[in-house]
Formats: sequence, C-alpha cells, structure tokens
Amino acid sequence: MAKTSLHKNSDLACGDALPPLRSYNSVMRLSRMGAFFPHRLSFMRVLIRRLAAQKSKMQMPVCALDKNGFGHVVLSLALSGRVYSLIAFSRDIEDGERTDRVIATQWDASFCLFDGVPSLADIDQLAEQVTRQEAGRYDARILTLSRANKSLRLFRHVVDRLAKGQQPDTEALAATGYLMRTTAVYGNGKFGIADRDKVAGYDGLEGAFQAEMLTVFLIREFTLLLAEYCAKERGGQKAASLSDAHRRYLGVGNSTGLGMAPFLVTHPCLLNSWIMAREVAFARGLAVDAASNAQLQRVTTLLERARLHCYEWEVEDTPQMQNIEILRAELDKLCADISARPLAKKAPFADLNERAKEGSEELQELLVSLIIELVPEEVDMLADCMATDAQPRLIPDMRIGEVKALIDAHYHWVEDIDFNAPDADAQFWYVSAAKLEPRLGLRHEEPGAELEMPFNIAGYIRALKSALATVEEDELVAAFLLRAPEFRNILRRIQTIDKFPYGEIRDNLVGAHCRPIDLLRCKLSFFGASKFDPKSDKWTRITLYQGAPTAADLATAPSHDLDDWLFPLRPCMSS
Amino acid sequence: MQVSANEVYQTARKACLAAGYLQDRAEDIAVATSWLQCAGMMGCTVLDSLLADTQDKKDIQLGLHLEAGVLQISQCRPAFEGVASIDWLLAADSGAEIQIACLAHPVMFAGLLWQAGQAYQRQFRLVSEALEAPINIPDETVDSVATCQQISGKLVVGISDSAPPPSFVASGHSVVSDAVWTRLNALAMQTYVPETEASRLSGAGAGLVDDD
Repeated sequence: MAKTSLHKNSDLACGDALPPLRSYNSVMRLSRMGAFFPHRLSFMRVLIRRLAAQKSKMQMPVCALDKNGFGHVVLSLALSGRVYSLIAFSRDIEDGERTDRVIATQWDASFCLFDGVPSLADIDQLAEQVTRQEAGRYDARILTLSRANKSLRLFRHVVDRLAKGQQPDTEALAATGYLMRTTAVYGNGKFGIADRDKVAGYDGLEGAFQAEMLTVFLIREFTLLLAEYCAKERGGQKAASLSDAHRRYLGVGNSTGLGMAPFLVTHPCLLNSWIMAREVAFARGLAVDAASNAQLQRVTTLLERARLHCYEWEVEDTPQMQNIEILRAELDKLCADISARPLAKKAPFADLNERAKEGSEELQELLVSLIIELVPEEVDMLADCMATDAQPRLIPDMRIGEVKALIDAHYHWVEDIDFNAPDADAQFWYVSAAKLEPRLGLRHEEPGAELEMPFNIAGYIRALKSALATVEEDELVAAFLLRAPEFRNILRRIQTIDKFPYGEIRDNLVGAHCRPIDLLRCKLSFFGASKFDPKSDKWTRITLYQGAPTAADLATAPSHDLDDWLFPLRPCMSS
Repeated sequence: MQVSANEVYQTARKACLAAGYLQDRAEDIAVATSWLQCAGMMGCTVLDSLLADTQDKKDIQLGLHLEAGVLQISQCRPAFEGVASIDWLLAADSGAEIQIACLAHPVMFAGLLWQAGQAYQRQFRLVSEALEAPINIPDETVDSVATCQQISGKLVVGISDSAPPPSFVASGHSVVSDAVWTRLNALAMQTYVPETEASRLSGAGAGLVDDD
C-alpha cells in the first residue's frame, strides 16, 4: 500500500506545511541517536492506541500445557476485523543451553504469529518448525517468527510468590522488569513467512513493524499467563494471580545485537520517515503558542515521572550509568527550576526546551519525547507517515556540478576524518557463516574484511570526490558512470539523501570510535523500548511494553486511559 | 520449493555479490529477479543461468561507446552494459537510442527495463529483426517480457513517446526448483565470513550463556 512519506520537499505531508526542524547534521550524529527515548509515535504506542480504540479482545482458543508449563498455547486477537493468533510453544531446556545470541538452537519458548486461527493440524505441523526457528520452513500464513528465553531469576521468583498466594517483590520486579526476553522477531518473508507487502495490505498492520509489535504484545500476555499457570499448578487454590499493577509493569525483555544496525543504513528512505516524523512532532510541540492549564500540569507530571523513571533505571554498563547519573541530576535541577520559575506564557514548551539546551544529549532527547507527549492532537497523525515505499533511486540526468554541491551540503562531516589514520577504517561489519550472525571485526587484525557490508560511506564519498575533481561540472551523471560504473551506488545514495536527509547517519560507521549501540538505541526507541541496558558497545537488553495496558485493559478501560505509559514506574511508586 | 519474494531478493542480491557484481548492480538484478519470479517468469532460473555465464562477470569495465549520439554496445551484459545503458537512456534527450549487437540474457534485461520504467514512469521501445513487432516495456501485461526471449541479433532500444500503462504489481510466494535454489544459496553463502574462535567470542559483543 502506498504511504504518504515525509521528505524534504513534501510541504503538505500529513496535512500541514513542515515547521522549521532541527538540522539533520545535528540530529543524525551517533551520539545523539544513542540518546533517543521512546515516544508517542513509537510503533508500540501506535499499535496500543489502535487496539484500545477498537477495544480488541484477546481469546485463548488452545491451552495445552503440562504441570510444568511446557506445551503450547494459542492467543488470538482481532484487529480491524481480522484475527491474528500467537502460537506459543514452551519447552524445557537445560541450563547452559540458554543463549540470547543468534547462534542459539534452543529456547524456552518459540512463537509465530498466524494469519487467522490455526487448526490443530496446523499447530502440530508448526510445532516441528517453529521450535527450530531459522532451521524450520514456513509459508505465507505465518506473519512473524520469534523466540524468547526466561529471565530465570524473576520467573522463578514470581511463580514462587504467586504459588504462595503472594504478589512478587517489587524490588525483584524492578531489577529485571520482564519474565522472558525475546532474542529475535523475524518478519518480511524470512524462511518462507509472509512478505512485508502482504502484511502491509492488512488494515491495522500497514504501519512500520506493526505485525512485529503485535507479536511482542501477545508474547507479553503469554509470559504473564505462563507464570500464573505454573503458580496455579504448584499452589493450587492458594495461588494468586498477578495484580493489575504488577501485570502492567511487567514488559517483555529483548536482547539485541548488531543485526538491528544494518537496517538503518540500508533503508535510508524509511529511516528518514521515522526521524522526520519525530522531528516534525517535536517542532509542532515547540510551536505551541500558549498552553492550557491541563497541559502545564501535564508538563509537571511527566517531568516528575521522567525523573523517577531515571532513578529506577540502573545498569551495569559504566558509560551508560554515568550518562544516567548526569541525567538524574539534570532532571532534579530542571524540576526545581520549573517549580521556582514557571514556564513562559508564550511558547511555554519552547521555553522548556530552551532551559535544557545546555544539558546532556540524553536530557535534550528525553525532552523531545516529553514535549511530543504534550500535543497528541498535533502529532498522532504523523504515525501514518512512518512507512514508505520510497527506495533509493539514481537521478541520471543530474549534472556533476550539482552532485558536488550535494556532497558539500550533506557530507562535509567526512572532511573531519583523517583517512591516513588506521582508526579511520578500523572496524568492518560482516555476516558470520555461523547462523548468519551479524558481527563487527577489526580490519587490521581479523580476516574477512573483503566480505564486509558496504558501510564505509565516508570512504566512498572521499573516493568519489577525488574522482569528480577533474570532471566537467556540466557532465551528466549517466555519462560519467559509463566511464566509472563503480561510483553508481554512492551517487545514488547521495542523490537519495538530498531528498531524504534524515536517512544518513553523519558519522564514520567503520571508524574505531563507532559505537553500534547508538544505532541500536535509535532503532529500538522507535519500537518503543525503554530501560536500555547495554552489555557492551555492540549489545543491549531492553524492555518492551513496560507500563503498557494489558489485553484485559484493552477490552475494558476507556481508550484515552490506555495511552499514558511513557516513562513507566514500578507499581508502588506509580500508585 | 515455495519461496517468498524477499527471500528471492536477498538470495539473488547475495549471489550477485558473490559473483563479483558491484553493490548497486547486485541490488538492481535482485529486484528484477524477484519481480520476474513473482510475475511467473522463473526469475531465479534466469539469474542462475546469468550467473553461470562466466563471460558475464569477467570485467566491470563497460564495453560500449558513444557514436553520433547513439550508444553502441557490442555485447550487452544485463548487470553491466545493461544497467549503464538504461541510465544513459533515461538521461538522454528525446530520440536517443541504444544499439546492441548482441544481448545476453534478454529476459533479465527486460526485467531491468521493467523496473526502470516503473520507477521513472517511462516506457521503453525495443525493435529487433527477430521480432514481428516492437516490444513496449512496461506494458499492460508481462507478455512483453516473455517475448524478449525471441530477441537475437541487433536490438535497438529507445524511449517511447507514450506514458507507461498502470503498473503490474507482482508479489507473493512462488515456486523455484530445488536445484536452482540450492545453487543460488551456495553462492550467497560465499558472502558470509567463516567463523573463527575470536569472532565467536567477540564479534557479536555478547557472551555465550544467558542463564540469568
């Protein structure tokens, strides 16, 4: 389905002329992308709004678990008149076999999202495949494929407590935040499942990653159900169910590595759509001339919630923990400042933003999420602009002089790189033959660089600039490429980026100082992930749907009550 | 076996890279392959044949020259002279044409023309002594692409004055022979880096056990 996409020249995209936006040269730096927070245009938020508006009801047509919680379950949910089913297979695996890496071959649970409601024969057939994940073979009825491992500590604790008729300890809950951690969610035709084109044709799933987000939402329901089921098997009538507050606080974990990052480099038009929607939303918030009392009260509420959320955000990673500590201090100061000196009557949200201008990038980007939250009527429709069919395209009749101008406009950051230093291309991105796990290597120390993914954008720009130095300004790109076909790929990228300027990351992706974790956080923030918990500069754990409504909430609560879960807090503090 | 359109695209792209194609060429050929496959024209078989043709991947330097405003190609390889000549034609003034003495893998070339026609909203016109009538690509049906198999000898390609018809969208799963799929995947595998102990331990930035 063709979507309206946001790009530099789309004055009327999504209803209004584009307001002045932050420069892509500033926004698209790795350090800033690595400070993004989830926001109300994040794909999970979009899905929950839709499910809540439709009061979607979840059903469990099949529950075939043994006394230890092993077996299978089917959870079905209607969205826009179509039923989707999560088929979940729960298995007993040995300690020591549990790894979140792509190279894993066993998981505590494996899942697929089925188009419709599966028959028992379907389930039997899929059990053989889904539990083997990448080694299985699927058809177009399967929309996504996923798997998860238990957080053993918390899962056991929750089952123990519930079996005794008690609620889990809030400290234990907050330390992890989820019962299971997904380690991949596959879509778009992988291993024979449905292509994105098919999924995008379904009303309600046309937006970016909506089928994947629906899958994870249902996985969360499965984890809650499984813990309660195991507690009931153990505790019998004495067993308790999780309280509503505990259920909402428990999200789904996710362990994410380098596989996330290449997507952002290879999909510049889509990345532009995401970032630009967020920037437009932020600009619309800043442009608010005068705020209602309710909006001003909401600023205070959200700031305080953000502050407490950051005090609950604890990680082992030293660089990230240092950032969090700075952020906590900055939020303390900002809250005090606003309490002492109310926001300006004119353009209050711009004033709020101005007061954080000298703060860290974490603070600035947290305020982007917060300010977007204040103006839902101005921004929610932008979610419709965040999927695009646009693809990189060569403009063969462009003159070389114009290409040179585009390089100056979009790639002046390349000039800052010392290409003679070994650091300039110290790393290379590759796919390992071991289960196709994406990895990062050290070019000057490890083999395999000849098979690297084409992410040395800065190097390609430099080579092109050199080649163009002696080319006549009025020569056509197509004529130049007859002599130098090796530059077609980077020329196409430059021309595409001029139209989709937020689609280029303006940093050296193969330099020694590139931290892939920044790319991961950017992408995951668009999914709606919170509690970023880096395990290295290439790997992070996150929490999805923490604080979000549960399926039971969707069916019963007013929809406007179900859209306020930015910066979730542990149950005792939020109550 | 049944394969998805994206599987065809990704496998074709990697197979082309393994065969030594440049990134952009690999992507364009993969898009054309996936489209041909979904449109019922055995795109994977066409690609398999193209990649088996050792002459087709010898040299990235293009065998073509401009002569009196006409682009002359003695041997047109789809991923090399084919891609370059389509770009040139799209940029050239009205009335420009390409003259091809010998066209290898005409269905793949037609697939590239179809994709370019849809992307740039132009229609290409192919004239050959071997054809009863000129072929227009894209056209209302995909028959025009199948007809390209008949092309032999000299071929002239220009841009038609008429606007292209509404696009024919090909998508969804299709059937590919096991032997062809195995060969393409074997090529695609060559784009992966063999594992070493060091890469296993440090390449992904994560440990090996997560029993926490």
